[in-house]
Amino acid sequence: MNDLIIKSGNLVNPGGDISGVHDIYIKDGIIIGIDEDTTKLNSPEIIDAEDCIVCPGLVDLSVRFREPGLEKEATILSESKAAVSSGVTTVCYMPDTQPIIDTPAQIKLVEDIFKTVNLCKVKVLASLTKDLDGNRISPMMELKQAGAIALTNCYNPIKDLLVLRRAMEYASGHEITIFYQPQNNCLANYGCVHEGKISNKLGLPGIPSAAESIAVAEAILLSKLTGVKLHLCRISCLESIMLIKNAHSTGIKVTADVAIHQLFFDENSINNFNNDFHVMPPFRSSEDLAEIRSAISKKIITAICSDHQPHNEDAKQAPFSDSQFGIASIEILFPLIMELVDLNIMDLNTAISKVTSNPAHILGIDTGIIKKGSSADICILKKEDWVFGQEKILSSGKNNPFIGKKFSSRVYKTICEGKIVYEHK
Amino acid sequence: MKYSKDQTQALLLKIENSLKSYLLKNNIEKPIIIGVHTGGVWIADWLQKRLGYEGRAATLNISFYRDDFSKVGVNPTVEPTEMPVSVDDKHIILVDDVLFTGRTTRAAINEIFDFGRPLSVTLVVLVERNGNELPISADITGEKLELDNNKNIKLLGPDPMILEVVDKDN
Amino acid sequence: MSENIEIGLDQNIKQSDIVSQKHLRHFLDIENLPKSLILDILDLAESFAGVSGQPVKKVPLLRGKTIVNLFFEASTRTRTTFELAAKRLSADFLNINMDYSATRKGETLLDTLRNLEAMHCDMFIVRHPSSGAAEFISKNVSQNISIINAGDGRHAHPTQAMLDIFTIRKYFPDFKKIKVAIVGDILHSRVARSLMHALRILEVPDIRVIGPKTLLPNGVEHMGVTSYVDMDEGIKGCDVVIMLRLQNERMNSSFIPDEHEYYNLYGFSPKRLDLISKKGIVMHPGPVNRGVEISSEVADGDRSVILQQVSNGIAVRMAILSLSMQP
Repeated sequence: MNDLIIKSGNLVNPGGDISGVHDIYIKDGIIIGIDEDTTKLNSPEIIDAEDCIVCPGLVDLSVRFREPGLEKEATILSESKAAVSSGVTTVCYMPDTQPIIDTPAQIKLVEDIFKTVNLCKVKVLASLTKDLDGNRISPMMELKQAGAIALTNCYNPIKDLLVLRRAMEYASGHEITIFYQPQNNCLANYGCVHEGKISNKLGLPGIPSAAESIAVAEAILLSKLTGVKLHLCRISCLESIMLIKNAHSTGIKVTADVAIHQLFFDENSINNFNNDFHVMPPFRSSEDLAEIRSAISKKIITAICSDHQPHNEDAKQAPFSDSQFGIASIEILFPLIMELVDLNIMDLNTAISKVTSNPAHILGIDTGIIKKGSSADICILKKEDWVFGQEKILSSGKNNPFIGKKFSSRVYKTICEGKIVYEHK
Repeated sequence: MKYSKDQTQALLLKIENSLKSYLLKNNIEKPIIIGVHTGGVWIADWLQKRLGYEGRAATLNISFYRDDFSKVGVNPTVEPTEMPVSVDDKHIILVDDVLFTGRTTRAAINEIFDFGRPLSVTLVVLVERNGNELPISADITGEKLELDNNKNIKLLGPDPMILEVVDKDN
Repeated sequence: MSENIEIGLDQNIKQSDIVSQKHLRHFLDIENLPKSLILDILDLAESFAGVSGQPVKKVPLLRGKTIVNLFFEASTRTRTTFELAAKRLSADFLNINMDYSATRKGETLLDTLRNLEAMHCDMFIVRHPSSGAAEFISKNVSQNISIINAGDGRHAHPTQAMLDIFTIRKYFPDFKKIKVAIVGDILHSRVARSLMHALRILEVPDIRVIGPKTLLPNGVEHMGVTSYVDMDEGIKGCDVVIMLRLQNERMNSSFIPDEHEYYNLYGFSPKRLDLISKKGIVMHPGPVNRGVEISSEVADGDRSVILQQVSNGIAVRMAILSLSMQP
């Protein structure tokens, strides 16, 4: 591994003390100095970052790379390449693989594959209940000791509030964070779009906003009861935001994230049964979209994730309700974040905090910040117009409604633990 | 080129007289007169009256029997076929304004046979022009015309009926 | 604030449904049809209605064309009227009933389509339990095949709506002067959805939907209709009342308490005939649940046009088949 100097980049470092134009010195994967070469680097490679944004590598709170079990859809290798092309250096791995990640051995397997691929780092989330059955709590401490960063039941429902309470209590005692995907499945009732204008028009079974917000309310109150560290995943509607805001004002420390696509589309996008817009939770009304954008600009929702879900062609080749949901969006996560800045939804510093220091803080890990002594996970971004064309997609999943979109900035280099893992040529 | 009202009338009278002697000669009583939409219906109605028969002539719309559906499709506003009496064991006088390729007549005969089995079908046309594509000719004709390929002849009507030769593009 | 992205994909697939004002390529839903085309279909159906009265109930219009009924969901009435319509147009006709659960597992829907395409068919008439299935199939078949939607999930049943308005026009030629009510399970009804579009396009000034709130879609007013929970109030003065079939399973999933209460509140009993306009008619897409949504006395009475709907179904479908098969 070469030593590196990143010269004259404009440092955007929301969680750190230093920002502005600086040189960064990297040795053995560690940032050893800002503007000072503390140990005399050994014939370092010099990266000219003048006129570039230099920021911490992105921390993505939810990805599905489909391995093990669904390698025909995607692999850790294929999706890691896509991730680093967007500046992502740490990914949170969802446990709904085949088999489900509910044992230490499964965690180790995934970590080992990431080590072999050696592009970005992984934090594995293990399942909150055995086999994700929503009924029997998993061996939480064992999973934590094996490296699970948090526990989640993914999209699978928890049998009842008593099980959820116990899972939270148990987790709370061992200081384990729970990632909770709020949805009351009875109310969702096999829906596939937002219950509203579009569900009426297209005759698709709808999911009311209340299916999410009721679950948010339950989870918030149980987190207060149990004291668990609760993170709410993929918020989609304004009632949920109201509840989270209310929780914050009464001192309940719940955190929340939103999927990047939820900041761009509303239910109207589905228009003509376009399967690329089949996501979970569904795209809501234009009022919801406006409220989410507002919540992200404040401190109500502190993180944005890719919610990367690659599918092979077959999974989307079906009538809307039968098609698989999800968007394979990780490789345009950063360009889309920059788009939000261009749209004046957020300032640059806030925008970058949503994908670096904030998610790192939610996870309780020491990344997402550029500072002396920390791991050299760095992304360098250039202003440049380009079009996200189908032929350029690195991910195995081509299920992406952003295909054809023009962007005004692109990732120029990604450095993970001091190694250049992506370079735009 | 336009025929005058009188010229057209003369042709109509000619086919009326020919038809009368034809019916007499062939011993045909109470034939069913059927006009093909649109011009043929006017002539058939006129003949119906002149021959002293009650009511209006039967009408055929051959849109659903055309052989060029795959090329031109069907016009949604087609006039209906009206066949008030059975054609079984009847003599049919089939009336059209112009006999050109013979395809309309072919379609009309097909349609008549979907209503039953007539004893005979006699074809009466006001004008028979060159360009026949099928072994079909009229039994009674007002006039035979040689026209250039780019010309069409059509009947304006119903009152008065006037024949007109126009360019095909019109 | 909605910053929806303009993307390079062809989002205008609807445009290809209508090649011109007079030509259809696929017949998928009514929502985007121009009024003139709807009227053309009705007019053409009028002409075809005569064919069914002939001794030989057949015209050679679609001779040599192959039409396939591709049904992924059970149906008797719709399937048969399409079959008769196609046969009266002299098309070659094939019935294929697919077990939907089977296509879900092994053979995908696309595989089924590819196989049928290889048999050089000209048209698929599709019924499918998923909303949007007809649309999906139309996007995935080769250029020369037309798709007719014979019902997709809760989305649309456009030929049923067309025959309903054809029947309405027989009694009320001026759509701009009538009041129409649709009664029953609006939420799950593709017929209701297509009818609401058709009536709106034909500029019917007063369209009402009537049912318990559990069976009325949330925000149905967006579709240009007024909703009523009280049937007596809703049907008052209406010229046309369209009763929808109540599926049995609605009772077991707490949409309604029981048949008895449903009939009392939303069943068309003889005394309700007094509430509708003097010349008002009662319709039902069939099959009728007697004593659940309509009494036998009304269903078989002189205000009911239920059987006319069935026979009109053939002529209307002949019109739609021939217009969709145009060059």
